[in-house]
Amino acid sequence: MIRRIANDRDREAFAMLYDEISGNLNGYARRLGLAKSDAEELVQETLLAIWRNAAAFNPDKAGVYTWAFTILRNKRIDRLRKDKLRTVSSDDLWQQFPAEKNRDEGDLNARFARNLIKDLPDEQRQILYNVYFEGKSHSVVAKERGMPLGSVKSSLRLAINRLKKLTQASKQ
Amino acid sequence: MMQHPDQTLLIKFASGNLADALGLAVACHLEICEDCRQQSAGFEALGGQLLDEIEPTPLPDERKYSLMARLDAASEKPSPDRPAKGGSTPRPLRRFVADDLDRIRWRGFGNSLYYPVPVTDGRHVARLIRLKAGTAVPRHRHRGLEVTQILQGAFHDCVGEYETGSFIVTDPALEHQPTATPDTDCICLAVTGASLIFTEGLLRLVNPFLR
Repeated sequence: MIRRIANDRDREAFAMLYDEISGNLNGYARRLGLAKSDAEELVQETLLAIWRNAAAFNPDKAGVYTWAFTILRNKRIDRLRKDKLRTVSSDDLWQQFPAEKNRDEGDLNARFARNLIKDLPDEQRQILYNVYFEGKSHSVVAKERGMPLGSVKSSLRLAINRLKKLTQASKQ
Repeated sequence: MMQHPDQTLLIKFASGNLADALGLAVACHLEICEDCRQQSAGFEALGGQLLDEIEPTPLPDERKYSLMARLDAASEKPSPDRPAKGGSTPRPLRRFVADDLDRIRWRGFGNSLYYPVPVTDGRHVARLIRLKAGTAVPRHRHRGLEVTQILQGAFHDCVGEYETGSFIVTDPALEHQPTATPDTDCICLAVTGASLIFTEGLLRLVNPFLR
């Protein structure tokens, strides 16, 4: 689909992609705590960037959802930053659409990511999402999930320990 | 010994929650460390997985129409990336300081020079530090978190030896005396927590009135 968008500037393919992922992007934007209209604008900016830069998408490196996730992440940082030149922009942190394509590195990343997702127990992964990907405090997470605060903290610790082990294993 | 940022920092970075001076230090590290780059990409994929399985919140139809109407005006406009090659300054710092570490107008005198990196995030102070080859910084202790990313050269202290590329988190309790290796000047990005410094400044202002 992205290839059709990139090569043929295919609006129909883009509309299909929009139907597939805009609701998910919006769901995530809302979970980040953005107000309805801010979330919708962020989703539109993200999809516009996907349209503009579809040629840079490299399926060897990441899946569509991962790519879309990184674009939304970057757009959000830059919206928060607005015109403040002395604060950090997403351009400083990541090369947005790097030209060099390293297939080996892409394969390794994909394998590492698959292991991460497979080996993390679901609850730990969800708490990891709540805390790091949605920016919620431990007590908010505890309240939302109806868990004692101590259990949230220990799940998070277990998740991070598991990530450490996976990292060490992937180096061997 | 090459030191790396821990998983918590990498996951915060990958999820977009480290868009500050500390994030710049991690970005400088990722530029030269393939292992950490790979981990960070893995955490981005976790984000992708979250996006895939999240409960969708549909947008109103008008949003789709207005976006489709903007596509023509928004045709190919590749975003300009700053060149990956060039001077010795890591890419993440090039908007803030000279492209080449040797072209930086270092301040201070003696063996240890510095240059303030003009990043304002309200939480940290970032500086470049240049320690002349074979010399040592006076023995000191940190008041709070300090992260050091070695950009050039290497140094050692009472804990160990750190090679180029190391990302070092200094324990505030540690009293140490970093010494650059004899062959080359050691250049680091140092990021410290700002709150303590500001509190002290305020306290200094407030104190006379308290007396």
